[in-house]
Amino acid sequence: MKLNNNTNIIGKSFLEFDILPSTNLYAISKIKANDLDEGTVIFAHCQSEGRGQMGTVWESNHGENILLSIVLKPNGVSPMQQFILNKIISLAVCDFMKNMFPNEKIAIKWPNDIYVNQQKIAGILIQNILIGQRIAASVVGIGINVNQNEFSGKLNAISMKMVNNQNFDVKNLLPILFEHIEYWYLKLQNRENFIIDKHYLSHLYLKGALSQFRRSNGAVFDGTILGVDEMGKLKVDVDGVVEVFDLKEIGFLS
Amino acid sequence: MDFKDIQTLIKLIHKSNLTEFKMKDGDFELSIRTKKYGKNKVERIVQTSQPIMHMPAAPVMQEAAPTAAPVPSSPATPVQVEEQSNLIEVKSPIVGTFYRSSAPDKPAYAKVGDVIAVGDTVCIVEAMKLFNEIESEVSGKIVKVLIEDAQPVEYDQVLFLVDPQG
Repeated sequence: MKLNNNTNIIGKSFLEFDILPSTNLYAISKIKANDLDEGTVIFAHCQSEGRGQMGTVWESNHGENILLSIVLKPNGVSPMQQFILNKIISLAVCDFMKNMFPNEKIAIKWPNDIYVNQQKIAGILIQNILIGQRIAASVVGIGINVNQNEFSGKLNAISMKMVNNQNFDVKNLLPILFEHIEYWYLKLQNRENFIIDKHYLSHLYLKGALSQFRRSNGAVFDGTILGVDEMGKLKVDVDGVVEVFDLKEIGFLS
Repeated sequence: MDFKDIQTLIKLIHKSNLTEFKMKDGDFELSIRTKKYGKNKVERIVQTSQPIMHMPAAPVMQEAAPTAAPVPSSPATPVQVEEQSNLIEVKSPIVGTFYRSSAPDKPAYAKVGDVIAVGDTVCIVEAMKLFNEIESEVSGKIVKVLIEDAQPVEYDQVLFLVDPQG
């Protein structure tokens, strides 16, 4: 696949595979073996063991979606600050979707999904290699539903094709996606954290809207998302009290 | 005294020469011992009435406490010989959830008795769905795994003890 990308870092090196167990795992093993250059993209038309998170599998039919991993070496981001990597990639995928669908409502569903009209269209899975107090490399896995026609009901997922009834050519989408990722990666490198935080907040799903949630003990409550703390935990106003939730401590009911 | 106060206190004690600190205020009792106290080098904080996070400010991997740490003023502080002072502590660089393997059905990266080399992955610490493979900066034999799979870890908490001569 020949790409026409205008980026200087992201996708400069592009490795394409018909099938891989997981683009993230491939990238990690290659980094450990001989060091992939920063910005290298590992692209697979199909993943046999694509991961959502520990154990769960990303549902994807052959050739219908974007499944890729990007190698980053974010010097200057300490392991404790790593949630900012999630923020910039979420913003990049969010901007990519806004670019494709200017009339739809696009949001970042905390902590690592992108929603179009309240349905999941993309997911992000970041794996870091830490050596001491340093992120030696960060592998950013991105899955975007592109031409898939249906999903099992429980997933609450949607594809780009399902948004506007049109098939997309993945080859044409990738350069646009890479540009958005590079844009936000340069913001990170230039330490424009204020801008990153501001945009992240303004795109956070359900932010500022009274919504229903569930605690890990099952209790349902109403609250208003205020933002995230520096660790990436969700800050929610519950009856005037600010509560901070780890991802296992809260479920979205709205 | 709230959590922030306790954090500040721990930082102060960490910077000082103290090895033990006790206070009592009504029902609230607090007792803190540093790594240099006695021979207990893993458990630094002994709490009485409420749970407290480990809050040290040391680098990730650190030589085990020296045997003859300088003993400050208090004559009551026992000086005990550290039997396993040559062991190296592998600590968590972040707050998160500790995983011994890449997936529940996969074997553990590092078990007691395993010999690890510099650069080997010893575990994963997950933080807000960012998965961190922790690479070892030391080589040697794993003598102890100090935390259970899928348990929360604090920053700088000791995860493994490694015998560099192992």
